[in-house]
Amino acid sequence: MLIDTVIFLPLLTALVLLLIPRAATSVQKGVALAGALLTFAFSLAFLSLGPNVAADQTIPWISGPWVAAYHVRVDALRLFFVLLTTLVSVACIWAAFSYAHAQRLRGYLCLLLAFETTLLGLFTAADLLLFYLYWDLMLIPVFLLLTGFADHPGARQAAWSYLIYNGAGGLALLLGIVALVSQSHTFELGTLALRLTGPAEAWIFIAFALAFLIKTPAFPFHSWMPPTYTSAPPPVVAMVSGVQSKAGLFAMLAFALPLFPHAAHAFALPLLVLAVASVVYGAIAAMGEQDMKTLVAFSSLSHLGLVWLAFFAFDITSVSAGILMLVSHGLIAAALFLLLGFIEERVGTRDLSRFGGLAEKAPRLGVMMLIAAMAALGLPGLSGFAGEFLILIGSWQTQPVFTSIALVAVVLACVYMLKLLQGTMHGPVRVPDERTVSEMRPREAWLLAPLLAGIIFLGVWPGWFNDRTPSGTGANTIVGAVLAEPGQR
Amino acid sequence: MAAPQIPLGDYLTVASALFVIGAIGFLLRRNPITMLMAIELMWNAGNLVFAAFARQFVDMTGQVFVFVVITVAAAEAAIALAIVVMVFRRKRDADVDDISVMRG
Amino acid sequence: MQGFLTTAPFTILSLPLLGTIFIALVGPRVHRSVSAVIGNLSILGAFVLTAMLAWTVWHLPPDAQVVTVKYPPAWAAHPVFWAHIPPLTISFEMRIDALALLWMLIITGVGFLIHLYSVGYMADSHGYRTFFAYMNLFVFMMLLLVMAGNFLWLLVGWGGVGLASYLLIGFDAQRTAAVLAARKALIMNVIGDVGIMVAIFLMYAHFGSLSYKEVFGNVSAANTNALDWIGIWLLLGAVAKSAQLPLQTWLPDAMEGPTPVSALIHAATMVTAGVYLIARAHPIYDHAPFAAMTVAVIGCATAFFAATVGTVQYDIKRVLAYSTMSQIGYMILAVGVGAYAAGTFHFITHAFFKALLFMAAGIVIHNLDGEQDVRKMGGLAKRMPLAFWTFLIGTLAISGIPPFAGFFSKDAIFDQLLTHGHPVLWAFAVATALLTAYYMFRLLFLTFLSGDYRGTREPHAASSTSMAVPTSILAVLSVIGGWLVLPGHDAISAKLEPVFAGALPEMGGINAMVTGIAIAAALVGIAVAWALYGRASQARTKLRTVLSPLRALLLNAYYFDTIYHWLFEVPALTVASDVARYVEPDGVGGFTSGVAGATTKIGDVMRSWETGYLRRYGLTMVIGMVLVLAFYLYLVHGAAAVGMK
Repeated sequence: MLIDTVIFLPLLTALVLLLIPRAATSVQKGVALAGALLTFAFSLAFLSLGPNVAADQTIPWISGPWVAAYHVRVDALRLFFVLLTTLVSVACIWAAFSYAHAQRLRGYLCLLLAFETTLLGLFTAADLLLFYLYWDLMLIPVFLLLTGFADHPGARQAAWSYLIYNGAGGLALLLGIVALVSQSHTFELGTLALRLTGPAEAWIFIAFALAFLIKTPAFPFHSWMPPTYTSAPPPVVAMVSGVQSKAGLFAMLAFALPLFPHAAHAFALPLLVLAVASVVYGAIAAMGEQDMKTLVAFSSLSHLGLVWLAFFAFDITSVSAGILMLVSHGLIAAALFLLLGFIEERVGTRDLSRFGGLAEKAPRLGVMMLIAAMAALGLPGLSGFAGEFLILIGSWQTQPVFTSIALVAVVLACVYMLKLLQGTMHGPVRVPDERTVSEMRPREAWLLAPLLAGIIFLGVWPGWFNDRTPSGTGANTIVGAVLAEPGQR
Repeated sequence: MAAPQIPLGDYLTVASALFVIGAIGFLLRRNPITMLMAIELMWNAGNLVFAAFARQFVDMTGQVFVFVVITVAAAEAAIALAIVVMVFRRKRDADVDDISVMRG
Repeated sequence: MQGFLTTAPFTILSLPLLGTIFIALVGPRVHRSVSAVIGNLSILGAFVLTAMLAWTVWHLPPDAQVVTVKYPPAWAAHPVFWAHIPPLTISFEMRIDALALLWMLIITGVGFLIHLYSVGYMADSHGYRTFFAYMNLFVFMMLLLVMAGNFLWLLVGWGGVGLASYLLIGFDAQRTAAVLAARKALIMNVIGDVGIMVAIFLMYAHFGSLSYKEVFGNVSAANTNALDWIGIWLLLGAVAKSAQLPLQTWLPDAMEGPTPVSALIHAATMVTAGVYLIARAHPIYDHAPFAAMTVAVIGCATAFFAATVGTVQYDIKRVLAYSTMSQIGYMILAVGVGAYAAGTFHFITHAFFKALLFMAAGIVIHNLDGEQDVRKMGGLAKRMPLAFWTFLIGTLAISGIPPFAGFFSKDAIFDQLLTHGHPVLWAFAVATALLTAYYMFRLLFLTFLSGDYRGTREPHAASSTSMAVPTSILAVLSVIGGWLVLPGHDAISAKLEPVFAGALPEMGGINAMVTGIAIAAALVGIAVAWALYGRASQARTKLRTVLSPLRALLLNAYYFDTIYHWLFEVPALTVASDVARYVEPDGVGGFTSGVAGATTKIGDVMRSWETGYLRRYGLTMVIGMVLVLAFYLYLVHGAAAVGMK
């Protein structure tokens, strides 16, 4: 089956890599990239399935008192998360070629590929047990990459903070799932027709939401994020920020909102407050940051806060645009973090006050940075704007107050993104330690090009995306089911 | 007609006495061999209770458990003695307080 | 015919974009002149096509002169939308009508002349190719802005010109001043973008669509209060883009960009986008009297404010920047009181004479190796005759001296201010005209006349053909451009009639009183300038000491920059850096590490029991056992004992 191929091809590639001698790095690179590219190529085939046709596969797994199945599917909701994962993985694995320790490249590539499989598994899982397994499995490759493969001195500490924080979130999710399944006796989402009410629903929803808030992360559950993003190697942070950070919001839409519609409406207000707090706090913290990676990390906090706002404004436009924003942010964040990696490799520091004016030495780097930064600050015509604008036009209709506050962050985004762009690229040339700054290598340019092309394409024609994701009409009723809550709209 | 039955209470009294002697011995002695013997006493107190109840309720499960316990106890004694020998070789002494840290 | 009407807009739009892409991708591999040629030809092609399109449209019957173009056409099997989340659908949609066409003609026409001028002006720049790529990008975005058929595409163009402006202001990225000016411009423009976004959100809430056709078609059904709000938020966008009060401070700084950029973006086209927006949204303002009045007052205030500041500045480009601000204030004032044709007319003539003034100033700056301070100029008329004569024509035009272009358009505005019943606004407008004539002639005298050359650098004499030709063409246009509207012959209103559906009063009627006062005001301004700067004069220094507090106020442009710095910049950045430095690690992060620390402490306490002594573990086990037994006994006997009582 195509769907199994896509999920497990990266893992298979990783296993093949283990057979290759440690010293044969060029073979390892070729195999790893080929595996990632093939996965991406196969995943493209899902596009041809059409908007509402789902690739669906169920194998019975546990049939005891609690029914579970190996149930994976790719439908309109999941399609672009799968594509985002495979696309960003290609770029990240390619970017990993320049990893400094050739002797340990094999393990590095293996873990990245394994990470890709866990992400793909997560985005395709349609069974709660399977979903939970991938949710926690995701932590392992990231933890190992941070402890074993990061050169940053704080990486070990960051790894523990990442593991404990997300482990705690996973625990909350587990408790929620256990409580849910003890009522429903099945992990199968398709047959989970049960409608909980009252405190049970509320508590289970809170457990789910807590896990998702931590994973995204959202204010004030984000303190694992800056150290992790700052100390992880660029390809890892590009995958974590570009893809993994979407897991919580994806699961909110795929699981929590359809399962607990009453609770979701009941808790909309506190979640909206957290959403807007993330948007504004992230923007302010990014403005004050001197470390370029931390700056982008906080900008992620701000942008993903907007998606929380989108989902809990319960407007059909904003919810659907939230999906667009997630994919768009995935591309932008991955591109930005990879670019920052290239910059750090050239100047040897992340401190914006210690270098500048690189566009003079590396014009192509300047152009790519310009596109990524402009997309992040929401320039009309790029994907960041499309997501932001469509979210806000929708959320304005139901939550004008929260939307107005979020709009302030649009201006702040301009301030901190210009601080990043101008701080790195413009102004007088300053490079510490007399280093020579080289222009982008072709590999670096080519691995970024698809991400930037995606950013431009989604900005020019988001309607293409809308027609392939749940947009309220048609067969896919996930979004519709959430909105059709009686007495709420 | 049969020999007068020993009442269940007597068995339990003896077993309790055995167990308490074993426990006190385990807590007070520092020689590992003696401590092992104390543990054996506690095992056997348990065995006696099993056997007594098996007889009382005419249910053989209790006796089966006794055999299991004896087997496990034998295995345990073998391993424990081996450890004691190793410790003795290394430390030239057999005081358990000397081996309060789990590394050589 | 229909085919041309649908393909031409698309072609016009794609030509500059293709130019940008070509220069970006192929440019570095070929000779630098190829980039310049492509950049120029693509704009020229767009201009020719625009002219053909305009000719075609204006030969249609009047009720067919508003052409809506949708891509792909309506008969396509699978309609394509920019965004499609029912009930929200946003199409790829253009609207070609007289208003758009006039703007397009100026954008491509003046744009081409400035491209041509840049060939010479930028010849020494090592970012030659990049410059043309950015300029083409600008033209593309500006065309998108005016050709848009709904507010979404307007906003895309709006943001796009902001980007192009940002890139070109910061074109000399090695200079910190340019980088800072670029940042300021973009941030202020983004504030304006947010204003338009809010207006769009409100429009969607009230009309359920972003399309001009549906929004404007349903305006009369909406309530005035809502329309006022929409108008005010749109105005925020216009104010930011057109450098009107209170978001005007970025424009003088934007003069850090190369002079052709100042001419094209920060004088002729982009900064007038606010005028376009308000004229385009005229059905809203027609039904929103409060918003319209606000527009007019802001325009008038800016016109006067900028003119006063312009009287004391010494940087030749900054004076021109303030004059741009002031002239756009006129246009905003005109469209605010409903004189849409007059506003458009002034936009056209202003594009001619202001681009001309910048080009002439550019020749001076170019020949002086970048010197912009007029105190180091003087007596340049003999050394640079072309620059002098063209600058003189531009100055006469902007001062409103007949028969130069500015006279006619200003006169139309003054006339309509009175016919619409706004005598106070008219008085300020006339006072502004006086100041305009004064500071422009002051600039002319200081630069070209008033004694000998005061600078130290020896000026180059030569100016290249590519600079001379477009400057001369614009000089001619600055003379004859006003003749579009003559008494009894009003070409502008006639063209705009179908757009504004009869809401336009005819221009060109000469009211002797009004016209006389305007001309007199201009002449007084010129006379004062001549008295103070045209000849050696003691009055100047005397006046300076008498008015020194006022002069300081004006030199610092009413301290807007300082106020904004202390009011917004400093607090925002202080809060931000405090958040990053203290709140984040100690507050939010502190909470987390607090939890982690508490866990560790509990672990430390628990660990002290784990001594490693076997007896300790034995004792623990025994205690545990006793507790379990005690609990069990309590369950069996204790409960029974309690029950017996």
